[in-house]
Amino acid sequence: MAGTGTMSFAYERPTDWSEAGRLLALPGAVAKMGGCDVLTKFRSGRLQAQTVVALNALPGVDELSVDAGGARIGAAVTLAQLARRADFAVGWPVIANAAARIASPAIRASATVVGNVAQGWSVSDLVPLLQVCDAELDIRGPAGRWKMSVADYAKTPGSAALKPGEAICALALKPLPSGLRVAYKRFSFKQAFDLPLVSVAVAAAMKSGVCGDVRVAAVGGHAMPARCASVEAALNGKCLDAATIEAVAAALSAWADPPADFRASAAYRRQVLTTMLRRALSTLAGA
Amino acid sequence: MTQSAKQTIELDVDGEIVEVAVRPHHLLVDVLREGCGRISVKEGCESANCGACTVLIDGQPTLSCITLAVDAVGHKIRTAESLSGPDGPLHPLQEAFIQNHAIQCGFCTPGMLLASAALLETTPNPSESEIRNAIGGNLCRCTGYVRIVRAVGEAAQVGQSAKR
Repeated sequence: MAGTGTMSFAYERPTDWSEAGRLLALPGAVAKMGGCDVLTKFRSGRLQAQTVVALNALPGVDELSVDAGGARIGAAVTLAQLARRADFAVGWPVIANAAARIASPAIRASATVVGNVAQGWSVSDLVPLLQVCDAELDIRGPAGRWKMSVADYAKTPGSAALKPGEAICALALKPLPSGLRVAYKRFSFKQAFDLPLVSVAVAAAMKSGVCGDVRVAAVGGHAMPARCASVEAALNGKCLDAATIEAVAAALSAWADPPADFRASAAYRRQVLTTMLRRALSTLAGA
Repeated sequence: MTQSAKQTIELDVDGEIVEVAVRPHHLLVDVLREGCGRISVKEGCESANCGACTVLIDGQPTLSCITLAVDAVGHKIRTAESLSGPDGPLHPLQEAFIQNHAIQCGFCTPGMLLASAALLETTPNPSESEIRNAIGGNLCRCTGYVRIVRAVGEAAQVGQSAKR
């Protein structure tokens, strides 16, 4: 097949986790699930892999369970599969809605929910929502199993948060506290098939008009999607009146140190971020 | 770098079992075109952006340019070649694309047809917004979207009236 890439790699599909850990610890090993990220890198000559390790055949990766204890999304569950699950949409409607709109139908049929986090991109629709919903990653590796929050994982690009031999086997969400409202606003240049330039996820419990348990995360404010502690502090315990909204927008503007690139300047990103925040707060107030 | 060994795999392409020798890093788009003779599958952007390489795998639109051929083993692959036989009647979508002049250069057409076919299988009577969402990952660089959307809607109507 003449036109197929230039770099050869070995391809492994382990069926047990200890073998997966051994293979992933090899020098030049790269984990693959839906393959959207790994094979796009391969196509553009940016994949430095001697061995690609497919995680699809491992036990438990197809699990998608939703019950009173929360949701558990195995590493092989695609965006399309999550979007089709009506019981998931009951507990996490804003995440379900975002999963149903990412990229295109063909990408959603291959791309996985966990992969969206695992690839560690600077922009993502799911990561800020998972950050405000306190999602946790279940990680397996040679040293055993451990948990890490999506917020911590997303602090470093790519899979830098994982040690050699480790892989994310599932993502877990606890039920949201009752009364917690979630809003998500994104801006992209195209309506279809475009990553967000910036986006804001806000969650808060509203009691007699006062915001409590505030969580805010933003994409495009820093190099990676991140929780915004100073913005959360500016909103916690406040009524959503005009003065608060101005103060919270100012806090986001001060928190942000946006990157500048061919898509937009830092000043443009900062301005649109505050607009997304105002829209999210307006949705929160009206919800 | 040493190449991984070739292996013989069987692919289920349009209901036909095709035996091909591939290496692990070979992509489905190339194997379908060069090993299985399915030249309706187009390679446009090589970066998962344009949708020209769309095929259906187990009924779901899939980008064959970022799918390994070995990963397609055991699944049903459908290309635009399956929509009509060499002498048989055209598929209603093909007929509607012709009637509505929904083809300009034609490079996006196989992907558009398959993305639309997948939509009509689950949503026989789609709204315009559902049609636009279904082809949202397929770029037409001639920008003939209005006629494509119209053609898919018309094919759906033909399908609906055929059932009555």
